[in-house]
Amino acid sequence: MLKVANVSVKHGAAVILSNISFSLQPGKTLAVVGESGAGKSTLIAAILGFLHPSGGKIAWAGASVRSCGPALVMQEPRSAFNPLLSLRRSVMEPVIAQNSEISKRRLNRLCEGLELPAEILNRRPQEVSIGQAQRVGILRALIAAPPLVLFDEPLSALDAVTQKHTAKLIADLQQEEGFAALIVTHDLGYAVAYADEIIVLKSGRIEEVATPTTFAQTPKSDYSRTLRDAAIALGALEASS
Amino acid sequence: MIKDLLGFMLRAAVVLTGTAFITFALLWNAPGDPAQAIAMARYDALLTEEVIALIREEAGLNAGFWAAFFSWVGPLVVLDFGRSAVSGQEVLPSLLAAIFYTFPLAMAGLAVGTIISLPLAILATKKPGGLFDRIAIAIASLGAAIPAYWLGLLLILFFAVQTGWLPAMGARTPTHAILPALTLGLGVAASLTRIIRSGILEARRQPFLPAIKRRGVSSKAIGRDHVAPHAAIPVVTLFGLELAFLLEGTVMVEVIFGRPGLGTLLVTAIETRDFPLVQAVVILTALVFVTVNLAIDIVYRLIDPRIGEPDA
Repeated sequence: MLKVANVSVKHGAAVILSNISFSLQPGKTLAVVGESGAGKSTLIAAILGFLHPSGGKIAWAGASVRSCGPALVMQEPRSAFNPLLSLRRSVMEPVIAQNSEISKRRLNRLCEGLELPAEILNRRPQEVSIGQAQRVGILRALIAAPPLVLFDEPLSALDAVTQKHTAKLIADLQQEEGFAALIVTHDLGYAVAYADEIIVLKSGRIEEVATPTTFAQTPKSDYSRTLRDAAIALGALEASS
Repeated sequence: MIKDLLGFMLRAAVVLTGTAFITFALLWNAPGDPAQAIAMARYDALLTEEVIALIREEAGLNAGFWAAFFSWVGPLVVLDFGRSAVSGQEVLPSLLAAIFYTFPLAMAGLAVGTIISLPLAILATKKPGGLFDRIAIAIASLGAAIPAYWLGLLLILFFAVQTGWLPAMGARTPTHAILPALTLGLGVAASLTRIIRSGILEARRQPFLPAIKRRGVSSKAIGRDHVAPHAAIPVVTLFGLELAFLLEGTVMVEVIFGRPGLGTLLVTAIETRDFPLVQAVVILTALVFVTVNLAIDIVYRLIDPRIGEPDA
């Protein structure tokens, strides 16, 4: 279980995250939503240990998160890969590093689900479209069956149909393999449809922790309501009756 | 590939022709009578007008600029550098003999520079901004600021004059090359340390690294597969340029340490206005620059397959 307890992150005098607490069980999905600059990506960096919180504790099953080999799907798909290496080499890197073996069936199944022709893996990142690079990023994250996956805007570069397929594939795999998923997203429709719980962040603080139904129908905070209403106006969420 | 090769050959031809023309024009228009200078070098005495006129005729100085230029540049195509205006001997053997001394010295300088700079830069990047990093930057800045002629004299003063540990002048034994190689190498180490250090730090900031850092990929593998190839690109550029400039740097170092080689050959040839010899050394230097540039281009493509490819 991922446990984030009273975590604060400061940069000089500026408070980026303030007193953040939540937990995430294996097999569950937590969506973190909020405006740009709310601290969503900082939260991911703190969980992965790329920056040290000024206060609080982050742990996976009582040990450091690093020990579980968490996977990250990055927001910028093209720059998420070493441009000098083939995508296949990048995808297989965590598998080789962990000395685990991946069956061809699993690779094919993931490629199929992500609508990636196998041949694409022989290319380098600059030789595929942004959407394809995004899906290869998801493939790399899921290939070695990690217990915790952090998604930073995983569907942002995909068209609506591929978004739907990819979201379903992630959910199906999660059902089978039981990984915990933390998804940072601006896509409230995706968060409501697939998350078990939604955290609304604003200026580095948790505004609200809600179930998708509560968030979509009766959000408690004014800010959550504003977010929800904007998503409804844009057609990303259905208005509740 | 063929297009690239043709492009390279065209560039090389332009550089070599340009170098040949400019050098020839500079020597031709330099103040003083070249025939007098050749006569002084050849006979070490003031000679009569008749003998000077004979030398002028013999050296092709009466033929006019263009005729003299083409009569020299034509045979160059088949690597015929002609004969020395002073000694009358073929230029090529003197040139090869000089290269025999200069090239190993330049290589030794490059080796000294690499041996010092590589560990220094890697250690400096262990903790950027830390004490060792600051010391490494200070050493590199100091190395860049000290001119070779002064450093050479300091090394002679300490290692040859005061302690007598190493020989200073000549090139009789391999130990004679230690002080010249150190003089060249310390300068190279200064610039290489800075570029390797900044290359590594820059490569460590690549945006894709967070996606693999926590997946069990070892720091060694990250360094080898992701950091080193990116850090190598600017280093290769500087390495090639240093190699080419080292051949230039040896001119001064050879004179300071009284070593034979291209430097000494060039200085003597300029003093005596030995046109064919000066031209040969300059053309050889230009050829080294062109070859090094080609080598850099090839190594670039081996490290980074994106270079030389059309945009995806």
